[in-house]
Amino acid sequence: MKGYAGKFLRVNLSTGEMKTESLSEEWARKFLGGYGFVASTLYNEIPEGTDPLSPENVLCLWTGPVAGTIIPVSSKYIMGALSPATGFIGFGIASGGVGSELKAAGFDGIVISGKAPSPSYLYIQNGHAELRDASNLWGKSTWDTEEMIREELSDDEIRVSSIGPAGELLSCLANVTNDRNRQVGRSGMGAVMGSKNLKAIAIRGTGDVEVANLDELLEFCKDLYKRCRGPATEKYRVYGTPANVLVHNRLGCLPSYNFQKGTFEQAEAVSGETMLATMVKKIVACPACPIACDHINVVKEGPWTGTVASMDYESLELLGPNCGVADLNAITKAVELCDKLGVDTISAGVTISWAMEAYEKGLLTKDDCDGLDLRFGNGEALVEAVERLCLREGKLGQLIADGCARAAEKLGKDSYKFAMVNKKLEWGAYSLRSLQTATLGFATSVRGACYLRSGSYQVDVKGTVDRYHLDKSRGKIVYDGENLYAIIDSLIICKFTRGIYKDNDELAKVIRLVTGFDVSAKEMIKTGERIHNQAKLFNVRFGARREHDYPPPRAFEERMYDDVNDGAIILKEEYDEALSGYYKARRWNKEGIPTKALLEELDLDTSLGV
Amino acid sequence: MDSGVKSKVIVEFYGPFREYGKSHELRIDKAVTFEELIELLEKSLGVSFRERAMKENSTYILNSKIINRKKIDDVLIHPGDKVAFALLIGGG
Repeated sequence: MKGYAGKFLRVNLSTGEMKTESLSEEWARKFLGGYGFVASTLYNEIPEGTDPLSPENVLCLWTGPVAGTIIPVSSKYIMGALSPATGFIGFGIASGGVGSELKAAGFDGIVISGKAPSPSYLYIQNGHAELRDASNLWGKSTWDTEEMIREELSDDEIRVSSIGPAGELLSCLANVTNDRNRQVGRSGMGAVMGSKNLKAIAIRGTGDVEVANLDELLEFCKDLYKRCRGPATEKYRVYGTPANVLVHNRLGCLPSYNFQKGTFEQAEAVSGETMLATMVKKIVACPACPIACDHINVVKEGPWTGTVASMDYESLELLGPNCGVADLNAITKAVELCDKLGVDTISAGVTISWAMEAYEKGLLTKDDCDGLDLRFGNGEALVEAVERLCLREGKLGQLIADGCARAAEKLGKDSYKFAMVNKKLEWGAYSLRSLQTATLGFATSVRGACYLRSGSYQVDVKGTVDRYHLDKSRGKIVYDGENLYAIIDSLIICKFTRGIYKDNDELAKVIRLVTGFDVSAKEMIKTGERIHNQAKLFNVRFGARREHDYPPPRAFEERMYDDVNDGAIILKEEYDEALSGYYKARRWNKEGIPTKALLEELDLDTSLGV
Repeated sequence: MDSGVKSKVIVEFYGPFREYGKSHELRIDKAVTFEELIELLEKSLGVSFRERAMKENSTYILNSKIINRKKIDDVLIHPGDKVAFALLIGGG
């Protein structure tokens, strides 16, 4: 098989047994890689009723066929498992060099079950694997863990995916970090690793990846690399995603004060432009990336001098304006704590903004917050709260460590109404009421409130549709986006390069040149549809129904007033119509369950279909 | 409303347009097209502004709406409006 290593590693942590299995070509053609492999692996291996934090949960890492090739920005990997955060499919895609390193070590993926008897890490080197003692690493930050493993193995080139203390403490917000600043974020994959006593996965590989048509691929990539340095990616190269702040503020879709508003009066102070002028010390690229989007902030003064953090829009926005905080130093410190202690910045930001609102409404007292004055805008309190959340410390840490949906269940008093979640996963940094197609896309996402599954915010932001209203036609927009993004996430290529491909034919060309599979653009999109339905079927097994595809109550019950919006709200009847339109486009029934006819057509298991 | 404010257009600059400052005020007596606005800005900011504004990845925002560049001739900017020039960025 070309593009693929042709085998994967299966690890049983309970017994220590490890074996190499062949990758079936039929399976690769059907699910392509990455996200497709995760969806299929989890569906095949995790039965109904499994506890996400039990040894029976299956954790898998997969690369795509392009990992380790010269396709631009193709070094990614995906990690998936039954999510402890949502109870549905959980996964995250990380940049950095782990994906291409795993392929170079001779494996397309790793499938892990069981629980190690004591803290361990998995070390893979050029086709060999061993479990090693990690008791000296337990309790260490992700950054220290990376360095200690490299030191222990006397190899600076080793790539490490590791969890921090939050993962060890089984926080539903725990992520997995590699290359210091790159994360498998969202949906609690760090807690799954922690539940398995698996502190880290360390990988070293020096092998090659064989592709189907090297000469033509080289020629095509020359052009792709030129395009990567062109206008389509200028935004990421120079300003990074934090340049969204001022644009979104002008459009009234920049969440602030726990999504109560869509503008922030101090947006300029936390803008990408201000950050670039005052704090960005370095811009970093992933392997095989000519773009370099990773903007590294350094705090130069005040109590957090010397703090270093990679800053993207979502982290900046949700720990900044959404918490009412305009202090870039505090936001940078909060991000650094999340990265080192192993927590997703999106979920941390939304959870703390929920706590701030609860505090301002009098539902949480200063005593409940361990003496913190947790009002909106208090940067010092933000930093303290992030640390307590990550370490489950004090009353506040105990309350919020598993995210705002669970915190609201504990607190009661109608606080669930302002827990900004879908499927218990915290909402991304896009205002619900002023970007309503995005809201439909987020709420129907299989992994919970997610901006990365369909890119549906783009039609709102670009003004292609009326973003203040919904209708049944929006479902098709989400459907099309999901099918395409399923391919991007299965190959796996960076979404920042989506603009360099002229059309779907060029993406299909990538598959043909790398794998040799004779795939047309139409067949490729059908594969995307199959992958998405496979993920959905997994959720259906765990009880997903129509009720899980709605945004939080605030979207329907509170009008939004700010400098741009004059009473924006989502009309429930419009949302219902749009959701039904989405199910119709997907050929799912009214409860959001795929039909048997569709599943047969997609060559998927029909037993859960209707 | 103050007639001075009424006859002004406030232009904000984001991203690469920051080299022209954070914002700029223009006095106009009647509605203008984006082409005319860019011409007016070129006079005070130089020809490089036009070159930057005409790049395919430049985004025009009128009040709180992104303007479709293909339909740019249909859009009029009135005295009192707010305009922004930016790069449109995706998620992150």
